[in-house]
Amino acid sequence: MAESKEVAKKEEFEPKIIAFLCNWCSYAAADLAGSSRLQYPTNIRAVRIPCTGRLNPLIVIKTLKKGADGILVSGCHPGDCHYIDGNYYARRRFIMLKELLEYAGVEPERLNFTWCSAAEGRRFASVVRQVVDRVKSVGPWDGYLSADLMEDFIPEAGNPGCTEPDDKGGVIDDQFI
Amino acid sequence: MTNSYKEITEDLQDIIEQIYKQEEFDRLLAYGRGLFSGLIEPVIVDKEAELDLDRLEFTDEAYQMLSKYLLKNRELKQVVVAKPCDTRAIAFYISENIIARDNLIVVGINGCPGIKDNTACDECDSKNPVIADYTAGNLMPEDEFAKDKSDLKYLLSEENQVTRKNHYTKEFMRCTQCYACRDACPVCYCDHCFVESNQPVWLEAGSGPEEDMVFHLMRTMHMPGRCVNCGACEMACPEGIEMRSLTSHLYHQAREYFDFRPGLAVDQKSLFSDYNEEDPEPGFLQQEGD
Ligand code: SF4
Ligand code: SF4
Ligand code: SF4
Repeated sequence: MAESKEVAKKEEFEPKIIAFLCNWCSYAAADLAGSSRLQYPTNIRAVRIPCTGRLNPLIVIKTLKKGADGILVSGCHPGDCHYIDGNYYARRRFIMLKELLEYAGVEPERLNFTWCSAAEGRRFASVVRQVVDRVKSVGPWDGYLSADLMEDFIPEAGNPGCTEPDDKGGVIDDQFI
Repeated sequence: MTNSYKEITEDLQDIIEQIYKQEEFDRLLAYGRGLFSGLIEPVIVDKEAELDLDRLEFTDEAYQMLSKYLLKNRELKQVVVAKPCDTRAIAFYISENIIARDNLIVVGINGCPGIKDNTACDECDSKNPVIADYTAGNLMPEDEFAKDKSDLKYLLSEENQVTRKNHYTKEFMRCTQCYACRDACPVCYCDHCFVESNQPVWLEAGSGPEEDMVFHLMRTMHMPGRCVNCGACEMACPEGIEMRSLTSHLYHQAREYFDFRPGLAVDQKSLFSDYNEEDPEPGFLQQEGD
């Protein structure tokens, strides 16, 4: 597994980035970037949301669990929210979510938050370039668990906390506790 | 100076005797010696029932959060003995309209001497009650416990990211997802918790190391603006998992960024139901020249 990661890094790995874009600003900015034929990397998968304030932080946690290499969340500039103050609420959540995930070991480069208005097609393209560079710089994401510790983990044994001890008194327990 | 357990116990017995004489209420929640176990446990008695005052006690083993026990019978008028961290949880309930202030008689403990083996007490930043109708013990001067983050060496705050990732991987692998940490937490009161939700499914069936980690990240993400840093979660964990460092980190970061600490007043808005236009944007992508 370590080998394939090396190979992936060498061969310019193409990250998968999930972009949560607010319907009123950033999604329109992405549209504008497209219709103005601006070139930007194809690594992002856009998900249209009504407002960044609607984005449950748990969705971001789960998106990374499901295998995204990076996240981009973009909404209207502060003060320009279609729902008046949705993005102000969202901002606080992002800050705490970022603090939490970085503290638990997710590289800050994977978590990207920004603002983009409907007229900023150019800025959107440059944001995407920036985000792709950032995610590439930290390589593929291999999950919330520390890869070093997981190399010896025996998947058939399931969760160490839930398994019956075997005759050696619990293989997993000896290794990890 | 914190008060001694003995002083507090004596005060509590006097106060409760007085409350029995003067006040109208339905139920009392206090700490006392268990009749069979001999341990300190919650003593819950109705007003009509007979109460042995000498049984009531407050020691360093009174780790249960009586504030959580209030939630079962919100419609009753309850008298509760509350540690300062309990009073913060109660203030939070009132601010969120979970319990009416009129239904509560709070007996607060001044200058809380702390609970044995609870790491939260070392970094406790409110050792006097936030709300109280009666108080036991002497008030503790504010400057003896008002700490800022720089004084605190909470777990792993200085380590680098890789060390922390290793630490949490190892730590949470032992988690059996029994949810005792959630059940013990005074500010976890949702009727429909994300861990049991199957529409949408947040946690997949069949736990494994990664689901354990996801459970803890999601639980922690529910905590900023609610966690009063009481340490009940860690005390409850049968596996001895140190998960409070996560919530504690967010507690201190919220204090730093937004000058916000939960449960300090009954009319306080929760962290996530309020905003300030001047909030900082740490780590946000900066505007590049278009
Ligand atoms: S956290 Fe503070 S208030 Fe709560 S028991 Fe410990 S010292 Fe007392
Ligand atoms: S998360 Fe833990 S420390 Fe925070 S309020 Fe709940 S039980 Fe107390
Ligand atoms: S109490 Fe401990 S074992 Fe149970 S769910 Fe919480 S962390 Fe896991």
